[in-house]
Amino acid sequence: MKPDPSMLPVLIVLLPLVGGVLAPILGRGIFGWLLALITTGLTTFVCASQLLLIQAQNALTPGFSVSYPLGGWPAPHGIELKIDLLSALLATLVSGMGFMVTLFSRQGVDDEIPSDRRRFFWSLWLLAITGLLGILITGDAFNVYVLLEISSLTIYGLIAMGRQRTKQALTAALNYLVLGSVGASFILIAIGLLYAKTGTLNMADIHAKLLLAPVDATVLTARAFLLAGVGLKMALFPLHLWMPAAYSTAPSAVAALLAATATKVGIYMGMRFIFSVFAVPGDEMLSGGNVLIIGSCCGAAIFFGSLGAARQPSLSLLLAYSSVAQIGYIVVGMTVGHIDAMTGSILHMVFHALMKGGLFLCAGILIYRLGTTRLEDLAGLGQRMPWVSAAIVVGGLGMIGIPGTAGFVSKFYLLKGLILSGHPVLAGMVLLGSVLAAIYVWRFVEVAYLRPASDTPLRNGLPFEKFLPVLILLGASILLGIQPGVVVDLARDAAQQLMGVTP
Amino acid sequence: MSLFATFNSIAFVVIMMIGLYTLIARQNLVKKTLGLGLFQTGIFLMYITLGVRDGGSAPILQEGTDLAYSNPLPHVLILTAIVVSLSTMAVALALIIGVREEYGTIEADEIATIDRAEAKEDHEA
Repeated sequence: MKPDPSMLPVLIVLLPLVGGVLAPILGRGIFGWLLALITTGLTTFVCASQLLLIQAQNALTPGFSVSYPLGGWPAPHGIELKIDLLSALLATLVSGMGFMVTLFSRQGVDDEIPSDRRRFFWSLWLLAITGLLGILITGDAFNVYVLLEISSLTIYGLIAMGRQRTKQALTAALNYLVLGSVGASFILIAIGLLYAKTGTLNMADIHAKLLLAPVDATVLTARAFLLAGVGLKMALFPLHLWMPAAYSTAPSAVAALLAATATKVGIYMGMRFIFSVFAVPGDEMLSGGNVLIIGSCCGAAIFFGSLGAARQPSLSLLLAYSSVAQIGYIVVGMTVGHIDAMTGSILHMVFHALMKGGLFLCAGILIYRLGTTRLEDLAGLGQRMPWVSAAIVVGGLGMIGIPGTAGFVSKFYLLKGLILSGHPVLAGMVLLGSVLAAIYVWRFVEVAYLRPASDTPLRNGLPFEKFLPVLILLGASILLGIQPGVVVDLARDAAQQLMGVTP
Repeated sequence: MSLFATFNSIAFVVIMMIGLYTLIARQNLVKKTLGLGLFQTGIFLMYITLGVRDGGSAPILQEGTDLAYSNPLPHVLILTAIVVSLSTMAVALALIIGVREEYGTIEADEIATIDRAEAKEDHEA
């Protein structure tokens, strides 16, 4: 039978789901890793093919999106998978990062996870990716909640598997579980209120019905609950407190996957609900008061996140606090409702995933070879591990946003959008954030290059398959910093589609 | 709005708030988890109330009758959410067992003290 190309969307969730179920049965020894590698590789392939298809169709008919009715039940009664340009772009990113981190983590997992648990690790790993991808492609509001809980529950388990290295992983996971569940429950309340208002769960249908009805207290309450819940999930300041502990104690592969993808999916949920469900055309996407509140959260995230990063004792914590600041950049772009700012925001999601993913992989290499990422123990790293420390510096330059790195391109669009939409204070915060980023990146440079080498013994050599993903991710961030054209076009089209603006 | 719906609407908010308060105010991790469970139970009640219709019976289609029936969809949704809540609780309790094994206590403040003491020791060493 010839495969039907319209079946492809469902494969995006089906492949990792089947892989995740098979992993505990087949995943002994090296097979768990192989299974995860093959599954994430195939999923990336499917996502990328969808992205190319949607981009090509979008050039002909703007606003094109792929729709797949699950089980043949048409929307709005059945559950619909709906992939537009933003979904496809982020799904490609999430599955691609999943593949890269899987490629990276064979020895790391052998090192950090006891052998009898490894097949369960790979099972949770694939199920987490299933949940994240599912949120990106579903068009059903309740489905978002269920998939969110699938990804969250598996991620709590994955973080807790870091207990072999440090027992704080358990408390970090429990903290995240409590806060994450409260966040997800808020989202559940919001969906319930929306259902009470509109009598439907399909996001496009909710949007259509909200347009007909006047905005009343039910809708406003739903939006408030939704923003609070999504804020917890994306770790927007001041709801970020679970994140640094979780990122720094999780197994290194998990930290890299989370930093690159999980918070991005939280931000996607925010974008999707604000622009595709709550937005009223012709009206401001978010009112002035909302922009003020979310904007000041973002400003505080950039300021305190960067400042916090400069005070951390270990590289993992430094990177985690830097993520708090980067979330601020991404959210500030989507808040002001300007097309350039939105483009910058989407670009920064992609580029930050590449750079921060690469940096957390470097931290993973440090854990593999040194057993620690404490900055004191990294003294003289420039001589002891020239390649890895050079990679960390390259990623750090991207965090600052030096011209020539991808971080510059996205911050350029963010600044342009913020200034054009009349928010000079927020633009100032973005610039200040770059200066503060220079401080925390300099801390690493100072420790690694200007101090005499420490005598912490190296346990292992540098395996090529561990360094290859780092090379690809950070290489891509440099390449896209010099030649950003393709991704900028994609992000701009995605932003236009999301905001319903015709070019 | 019927008396039943009014009562439920107040009740679910009260239950949720008791849960949220327990979650924040208690140091004992098991009690925190119970608070989380109570909080989620409040949400279930909200969904169940949404589907109820005055004088409505179970949504079973019978020939020849035209009875008012409750909306089954929120009830089905909440079945899923109950399963999710149950799994969350199971994961939380499993983590608490792990915490107890590693720290010897399940009081959040004592755990924080242990972590701080160890970080200090680590710093001096």
